[in-house]
Amino acid sequence: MQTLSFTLNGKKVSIQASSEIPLLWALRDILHMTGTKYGCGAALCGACTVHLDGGAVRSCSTPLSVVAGKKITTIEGLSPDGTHPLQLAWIEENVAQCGYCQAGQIMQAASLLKQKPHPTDDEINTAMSGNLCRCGTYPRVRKAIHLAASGKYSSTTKRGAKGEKN
Amino acid sequence: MQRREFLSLSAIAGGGLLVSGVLPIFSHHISNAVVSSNDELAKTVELGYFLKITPENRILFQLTKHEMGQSVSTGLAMMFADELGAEWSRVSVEFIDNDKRYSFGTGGSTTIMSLWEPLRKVAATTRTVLVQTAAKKWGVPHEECTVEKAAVLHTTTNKRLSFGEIATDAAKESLPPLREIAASAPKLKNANDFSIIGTAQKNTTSPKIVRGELKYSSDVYVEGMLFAALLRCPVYHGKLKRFSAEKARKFAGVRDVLAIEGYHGIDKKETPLTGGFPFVVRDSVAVLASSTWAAFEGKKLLDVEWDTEWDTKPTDVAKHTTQTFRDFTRATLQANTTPKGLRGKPDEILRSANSDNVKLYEAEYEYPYQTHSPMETLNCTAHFRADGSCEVWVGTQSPSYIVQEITRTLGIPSEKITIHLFPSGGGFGRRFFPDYAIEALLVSKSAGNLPVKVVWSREDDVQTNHYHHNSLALYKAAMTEKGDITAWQMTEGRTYWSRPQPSESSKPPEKDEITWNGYTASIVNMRHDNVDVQSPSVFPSCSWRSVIANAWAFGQECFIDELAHAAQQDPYLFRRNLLKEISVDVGHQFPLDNKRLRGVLDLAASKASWGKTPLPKGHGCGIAAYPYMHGNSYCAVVVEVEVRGKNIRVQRVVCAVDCGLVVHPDGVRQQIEGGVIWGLTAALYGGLEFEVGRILRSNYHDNPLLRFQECPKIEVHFVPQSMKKPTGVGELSPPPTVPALCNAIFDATGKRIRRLPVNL
Repeated sequence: MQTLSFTLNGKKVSIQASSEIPLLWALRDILHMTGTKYGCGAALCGACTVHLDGGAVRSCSTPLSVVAGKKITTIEGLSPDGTHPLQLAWIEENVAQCGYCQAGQIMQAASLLKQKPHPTDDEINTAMSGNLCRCGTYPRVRKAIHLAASGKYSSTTKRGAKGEKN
Repeated sequence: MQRREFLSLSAIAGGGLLVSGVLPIFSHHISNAVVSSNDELAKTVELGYFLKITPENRILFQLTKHEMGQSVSTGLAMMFADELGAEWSRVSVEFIDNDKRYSFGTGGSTTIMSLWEPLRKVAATTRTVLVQTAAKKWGVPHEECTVEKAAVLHTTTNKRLSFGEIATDAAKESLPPLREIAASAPKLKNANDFSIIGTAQKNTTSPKIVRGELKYSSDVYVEGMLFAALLRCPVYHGKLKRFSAEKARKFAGVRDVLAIEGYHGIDKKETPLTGGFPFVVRDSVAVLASSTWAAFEGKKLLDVEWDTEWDTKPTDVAKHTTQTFRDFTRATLQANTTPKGLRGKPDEILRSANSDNVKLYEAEYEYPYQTHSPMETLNCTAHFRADGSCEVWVGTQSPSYIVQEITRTLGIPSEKITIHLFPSGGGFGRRFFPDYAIEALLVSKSAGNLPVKVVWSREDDVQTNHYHHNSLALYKAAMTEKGDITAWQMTEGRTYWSRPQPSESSKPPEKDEITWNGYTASIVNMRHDNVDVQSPSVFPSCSWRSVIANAWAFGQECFIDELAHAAQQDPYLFRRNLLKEISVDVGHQFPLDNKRLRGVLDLAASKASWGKTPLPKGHGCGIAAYPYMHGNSYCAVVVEVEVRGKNIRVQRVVCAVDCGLVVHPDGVRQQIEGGVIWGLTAALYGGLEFEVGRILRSNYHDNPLLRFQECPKIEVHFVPQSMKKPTGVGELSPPPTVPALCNAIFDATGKRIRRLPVNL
C-alpha cells in the first residue's frame, strides 16, 4: 500500500492503494466513480476507456503506478455540464441502448476528435475498432461522431473547464 | 396470495397526485411457465406506481418493467403520456427501486404489446379524474372540458388548469372499481389523435448514459460490503473436492476465502413449459476482498480440485467434446422419434421419394451454444442478515422469480425480502434467471452475514454460465421436378425448451408444434419431431435473445433456399409462392399470419432491389423471412456479402419489419439494427468449442463480437401499419439475419453453410 496522487477531472486526488491496482478498480471501488465500466479486464472491449494526459487508454489495464502524477479524465469530467458535442450528438442520434459501453465509446471518440476534428469513415473505423457494443449501436456511433464533428454544437458547449483542455 | 384488481389515487406528501394499482394483464406463456405455481399471478400484475403529477406539473412515469437497452422506458412512457394528454417535454421516467411483485417478467418481446391496453386505460382513467376535478372546481359539466398539453380546458370559457394545479385535489377523488373501468372504460384515443405515439422521440435514459450517471447494479456500493470473485466449477455437474487458499489469503486486500455449495434449480425432466426453467448455481470457491481487483487476483492464486466424475465417466463420452456431443445428438435423432406436430402423411411420401418425379432432399443444420456476453457481466450485491431477512441489489428481468427462489431455497418469506432494482447493461434472456442473486446471498451468508458484491469476470461469463441452447436438426423434403414440395420433415434435438414427449407426459401437447413455418400453408404433409437433449447437455441452456426461433429460422430458411436452387427458381419468388395469404396454426397462441409474412418478404425484396442489379464478382445476396411468434411480429432480411477467399465482408443489410402499430419508431429501428448485428455475431463468431465438458473460449479475443469496422450498412423499413396495436420487436431481426447471410454466402461462393459459426 502506498499513497498515490493524480489529477482526476481537474481535481487532485490521493489514495492509499497498491500501485498495481488498475485505474479502473481504483476509480470504481475506492473513489466510487462508477461512470467508467468493467467489460473484460484485458483491454479487449474498450468499456473502461478514460483519458490519460488527454489520450484514450484502457483503465482496466493501466496500473495506478502509471497514473501517478498524471491527468485523468473520465466520462464524468468530459465536460462541466454534460454538453460536450459528442454527448449532445449521442442524445440526438439515440445511440445508446443499454448504455453500458457508451462511456468508453464516447471517451474513445472524444480522443479521436481532438486529433482529427473532421474524421473520415476510415479514421473512425480505426479509432473505434477496439470498442465493443453487444447491443449493436455501431451505425449510430458513427453517425453521432460525424454529427459532433459537424460543428452543430460547438458554439453552445462549454468545454474542458472541469476536465482537460481541448 | 390472492390478488385484487385495483387502481387507487393518493396524495403525495407536499402535494401532487399518485396513481397506482394492480391490473389484469393478458397472460403470456413465458410468464405462465415461471409462475405456474400461482395461477393468480399469471392473470394479474401489479403495475406499481404508474404516475406522479407534481404541483409544478412535472409528470413522473414510473417504469415497472426492466430496462436493459430495449427502450421500454421510453416506449411505455410515450403510450402513457399520449393517453393522459401530457406534453412529452413534461414527462420523465423513474426506475422503481424496491420491487418484488410489480413485474413478474420482462421478456419474449412482449412489454409494449402486453401493456398497450392496460396502461392506456389507466392513463385514460386518470385523465377522466383530472377532468372531473377541474369541472367540479369551476362548477361546470365535465362534458364541456377537454384535455390539452397537460392541462384541463373548459371549452366555452377557455379557462385552464394545469394537471399540476389540480393534482392534489384529484387525489381526493374516488375511482370506480377496476372491473367497471375495464368494462365501461373511459374512451381511449383514436389513432388519428395520437400526438406522441408514433413520433420521433429521444430515449429517456440517454442524458444519464452520456454523462456516466445511469446506475447499474454493478455500480452499487453498500456500507461495509466486501467485493467477491468466485472460481466456479468448470464442469456443469461437477462438485468441489478440495481447495487450498494459502496463497490467495496472502494477497493484499483478500479478507476471506470460502467454499460455496451450489445446487440445481428447478431441474425436473419436464420442466420447460410445465413448471419453470432449469438453472444451476455451481459449486465455487469465493474470494472476498477490499476491491474487485484484489478478489480477481486472489482467485488466480487458488488451488482447487474438482470432482467432475459426472462428466468423465466412459459412458458419458457424448459429453466430452463438441464433436462427440454432435454425434450423440445425431444418433438420438436417427433413432425412432415421436412427432410433436404432424399434418397429412409426410412419412409415406418421404419414404417413397426418389421414385417417380419426386426427389428426396436432406440436410443437417446446427445452431450451437452461444454466450449472451452482455457488456455488463452478471453481478449482484446481497446482504443475508443474521435476523433472517435479506436485501438484494440486482438488475433482473424477473424480480418475482428471484423472490420465489429465495423463499424456496433459503426459506426467507417474501415480506422479509427487499429487492432493489437497476437497469441492466444487457439482459438478452440471461437475466431472466435467478441463480446469480441466490449465489450472492449464499456468499453473504457464508461470509458471516456481511453484504457482498459478486462481480463475474468476463472469463466467468464465457466459461461457467448458461448459454443459448445447442440445436441440431435434420431436414427432409420431397419435391417434384417442377418445384412442388410434397412433404417436409424437421427432426430437432435441442438442449432447452423441449416439450415433454407425449409418451412421458400425462396429457398430449395442447397443439401441434410445426415450428413457426409459414410454408405449412402450402406444404400439407409436414412433421416436426423434437428430442430433448437437455439432460445430457454439456452445459445448462437458458433463454437467449430470440430463443428457439434462432435455430428454426436458420435451418428452415437455408433449407428452403436449397430447395429453391434445386428447383432452379428464384429464392424470393419460390418462398413467395409458398406463402399463401392465410393464417396458419403453428402451435402457438398466435396464428401465423402469412399475409404479414409475405408483406415483409415483398418489402425487403423491393427495398433491396432484389434481382434487379447485377452484383460484382465475389458478391452475393441472400434473403430470409421469419416471424417472432411470442411477439407476434414479422421480419424479412436481405443481406449482401462480398467474399474474398475465406474473408467475408457483410456490405448491406435491408430489413423489412411488420410490428403492427409503431409506438416508438426510432426505438424499434434500434432494436432491429442491434438484432442484425447480434445475428451476424452469432453466425460469424458464435459457438462454443469444448473438451471434457470445459469451454475452450475465455474472453473477447477468442469469443469475439462483431466489431465497429465490420458493421454493414443497415436499413430498416416498416410495412405500413397492418394492425391497430403494437406487436413485439426486441427479438425480431436476429433469426432471419443468420440464414439471409448464409444464403448470400452461397450466392457468392456456391458453398452451403449448415453449421455455425461460418467456416469457409
